[in-house]
Amino acid sequence: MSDSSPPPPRLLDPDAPTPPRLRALLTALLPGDPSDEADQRIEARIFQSLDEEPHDREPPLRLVHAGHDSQRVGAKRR
Amino acid sequence: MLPSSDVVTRGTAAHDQALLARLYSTHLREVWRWLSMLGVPDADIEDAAHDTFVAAYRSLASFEGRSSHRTWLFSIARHVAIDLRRRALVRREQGDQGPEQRDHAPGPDRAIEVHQARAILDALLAQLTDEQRDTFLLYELGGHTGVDIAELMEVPLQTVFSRLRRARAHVDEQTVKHFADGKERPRE
Repeated sequence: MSDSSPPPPRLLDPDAPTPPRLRALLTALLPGDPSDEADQRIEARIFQSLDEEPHDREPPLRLVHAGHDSQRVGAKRR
Repeated sequence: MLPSSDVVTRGTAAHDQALLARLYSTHLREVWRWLSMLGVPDADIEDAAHDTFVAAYRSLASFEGRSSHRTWLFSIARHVAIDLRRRALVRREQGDQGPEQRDHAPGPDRAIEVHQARAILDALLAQLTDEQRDTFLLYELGGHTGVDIAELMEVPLQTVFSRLRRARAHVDEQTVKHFADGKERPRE
């Protein structure tokens, strides 16, 4: 085979069929969907994690506009 | 594409949590599938999905709306998957087989089949860059179009097909070598 031989069709055409052995491998790994139970478990864990986050997410500007809690604004500036 | 009313903006913790709840209900299914196709073992997907959405919450402040929520979440999920892949590689190099066979994995036969297929595919993809590997998996395994991958990975369409072409050339060559060496065959 010379160096000028054309590349296989699969490298030229994105829609060319996948070779059978590779297709069999990929078929075994086709992703499924989360079960309802997994969905509920993940959601519960996420919000448990968020509840454990420090509650300092309010932007300082919001506190200035509220006109109170100036100590917290000062604390942010330090 | 999400409706235009679904815009993430930074606010209070309660506001951000409400936004995250909406993102979760809209995108969990696709995040789950991305994590799976990007190589996260079945037994680790719940942890990875949790980590993806918690990381999204923490980075709401830096989300500027220049990409869609879907693209943004994909980027986070992809980094979670890459991190897990690297940690699994380190575990394997240290002789630890890892958590692939945990109790909430699929049934035993299916788990073994998936585990074997994953190991073979990992070997075939081992020499690819993360970008080539993920493009290949999104296209070949996930059934995403080139246009969709270009949007998700925020690269030109031409780059997607260039990565796909390189990945296919390598994987096809490695597949022939792997099975010519008399190694295990996937079930057809």
